[in-house]
Amino acid sequence: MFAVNKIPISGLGEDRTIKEKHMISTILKDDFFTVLRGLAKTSRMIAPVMLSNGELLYDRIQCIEDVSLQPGIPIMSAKEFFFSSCEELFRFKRIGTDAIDFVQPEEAEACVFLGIRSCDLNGVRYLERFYKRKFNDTTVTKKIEKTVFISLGCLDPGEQCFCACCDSGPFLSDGFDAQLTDLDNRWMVEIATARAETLLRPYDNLFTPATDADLNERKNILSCVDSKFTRRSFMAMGVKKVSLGAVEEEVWEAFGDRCISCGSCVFVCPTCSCFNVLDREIGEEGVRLRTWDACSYSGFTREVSGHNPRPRAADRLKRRFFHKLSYQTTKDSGRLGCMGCGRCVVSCPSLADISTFVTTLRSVRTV
Amino acid sequence: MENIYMPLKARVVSVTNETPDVKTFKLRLDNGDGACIPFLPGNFLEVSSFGAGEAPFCISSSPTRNDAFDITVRSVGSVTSGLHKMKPQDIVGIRGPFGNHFPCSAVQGRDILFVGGGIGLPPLRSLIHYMLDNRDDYGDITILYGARTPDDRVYKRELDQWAGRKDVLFLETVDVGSKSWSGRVGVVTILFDEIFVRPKITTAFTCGPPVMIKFVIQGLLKMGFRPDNIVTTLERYMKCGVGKCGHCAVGEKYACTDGPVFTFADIQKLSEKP
Ligand SMILES: Cc1cc2nc3c(=O)[nH]c(=O)nc-3n(C[C@H](O)[C@H](O)[C@H](O)COP(=O)(O)OP(=O)(O)OC[C@H]3O[C@@H](n4cnc5c(N)ncnc54)[C@H](O)[C@@H]3O)c2cc1C
Ligand code: SF4
Ligand code: FES
Repeated sequence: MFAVNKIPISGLGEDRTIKEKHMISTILKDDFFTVLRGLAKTSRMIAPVMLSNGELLYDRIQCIEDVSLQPGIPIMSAKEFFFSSCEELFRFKRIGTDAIDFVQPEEAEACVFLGIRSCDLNGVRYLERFYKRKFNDTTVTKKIEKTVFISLGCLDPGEQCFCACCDSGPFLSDGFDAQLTDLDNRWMVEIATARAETLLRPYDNLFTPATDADLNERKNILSCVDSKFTRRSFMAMGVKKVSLGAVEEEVWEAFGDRCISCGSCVFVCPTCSCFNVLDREIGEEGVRLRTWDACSYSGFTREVSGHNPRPRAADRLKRRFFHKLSYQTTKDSGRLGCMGCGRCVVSCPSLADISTFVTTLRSVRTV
Repeated sequence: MENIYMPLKARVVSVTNETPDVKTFKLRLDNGDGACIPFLPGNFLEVSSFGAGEAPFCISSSPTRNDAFDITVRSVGSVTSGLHKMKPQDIVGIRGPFGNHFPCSAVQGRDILFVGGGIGLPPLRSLIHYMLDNRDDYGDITILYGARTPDDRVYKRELDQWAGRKDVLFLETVDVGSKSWSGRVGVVTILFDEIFVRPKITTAFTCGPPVMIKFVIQGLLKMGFRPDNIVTTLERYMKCGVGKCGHCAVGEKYACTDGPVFTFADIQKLSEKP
């Protein structure tokens, strides 16, 4: 067993310089494990682990043997590590009756996120952009900045996956520090940033520069993956109809009738980022907490007067899909708000997920 | 590293009882000279009552009287009742000022019509003070105010002062009168029959409960106001005040950062009904 030391990597978070040309090399899988052992000695690591039921979950790694780079999509997205389901914004402490002291939350720590899927890394970048605009919310953006992302391209998209329809996978062209491609008994490692290069430099001797044959092999693999997707979501059409307000009211109502406002789609979604803020106080000490919230809850917009601008589940679904799809909102985020990870397809108990919705919009109905 | 959720400390300077459930608090920053962070009428603050939480309140004082922030608060829930327990010298938290502001300079030279209902007067009061303190910059100023009952009138002393001024026309009404009330009885729109306005050169500012706003806007349109000369605020349920929590979103806009001040023309263009 290999226990991970908690020594932060100095300077890891600072140099995000993107290299002009990606450095591509290969490494034997066994040797890559040696690299991971080394990295784990010096840095905190998040990576997928396999649960006893065979499902994958991103987790903080305590023991390097737990890391699983098997194909499949982790059940929850990566957002928990940057925008946590419940976190402290600050603490406060009363001193006597007329003074109060504040304590800032702990500073974000440098970290390596290994094996993050393309859709999830795109989700993290989407959150980063959203939390940076206008007011920079450093409680989220610092954590992202200090993380080195070594993403894993997908060769076996699952039944739920439609990232190819959302321009967010199965491989990335940017947004990662390093990207892994599975070449059977080797990994191809594409390094995009100076800090990934720095991180891996100590293991230089284990890497071999990629040959033309390697690059060709990768090209062939990539061209095969697209045909493996079984789910197609016609996002461009969804975008158009939602932006133009061209979705028939009956469709909204039908989906509203199905939706039980459970919020599961929101919680599993890599890009949903709404939250609630509340105080908890015990004695002289208290904490201001931020918790995930869901726009599908009926109380989300209810005003004090009792007036609720979105009283029906249909109104709330309309909001959620508008935010994910419309030109009006996506022009600010620079891309579609759905990454096609398909988690809501799995989590929704009543077929009110975005993929089913968009497919239903086709004038020539196939479902 | 700046934490956008970290409030500044401020102290309650004074508390004024306005109505049985509304109080005005004068808040001064606990930072030496206590001067306000620059703001304009229409901006709002996120105010913390530590332990109870944080809630948005418009600044009801004017930047022309810049020694403190006034907020006028109706007690309706946890944060507001926490604030209502406060006495002078108590500590609150302030974030902000946030949001956009009323078009104070864009309407210079125009006639101004204010229509306020109940607890909708606080944001207008900031602008009214601002305009009265720069009286020469504006044309005729008319203020219409409606409250539920005579007891529910906020800023009672100021209302009497406005009524006494020669350079403003102030009219008010209550929905339900009382024995001691000798003024008008009826909803605020009945006052439209008593005023003379020139819609082409007038900008109307209206704040109040959603139902009132609806009828006021209908009335103004009927008088001939153009939608872009009718200004109101969208007080959506808000949490963060900085465009992150998602609560206040209306279509592609966020009431907290794109608003809370919108013209009726802006509102008509929104892709979601507010
Ligand atoms: C831009 C802006 C400016 C504002 N300006 C002012 C102002 O100048 N003055 C002013 O008084 N107010 C103003 N408000 C409104 C003010 O922010 C609210 O009154 C305040 O947020 C209420 O907070 P609270 O914690 O006291 O109420 P809460 O405790 O949040 O509750 C309010 C009410 O909702 C009910 N409620 C809460 N949660 C639930 C639930 N889950 N289910 C059922 N019922 C529930 C409570 O019973 C209570 O009646 C403004 C709002 C905005 C957006
Ligand atoms: S909307 Fe559904 S498929 Fe799209 S990113 Fe969110 S959870 Fe994944
Ligand atoms: S109040 Fe949080 S987004 Fe507007």
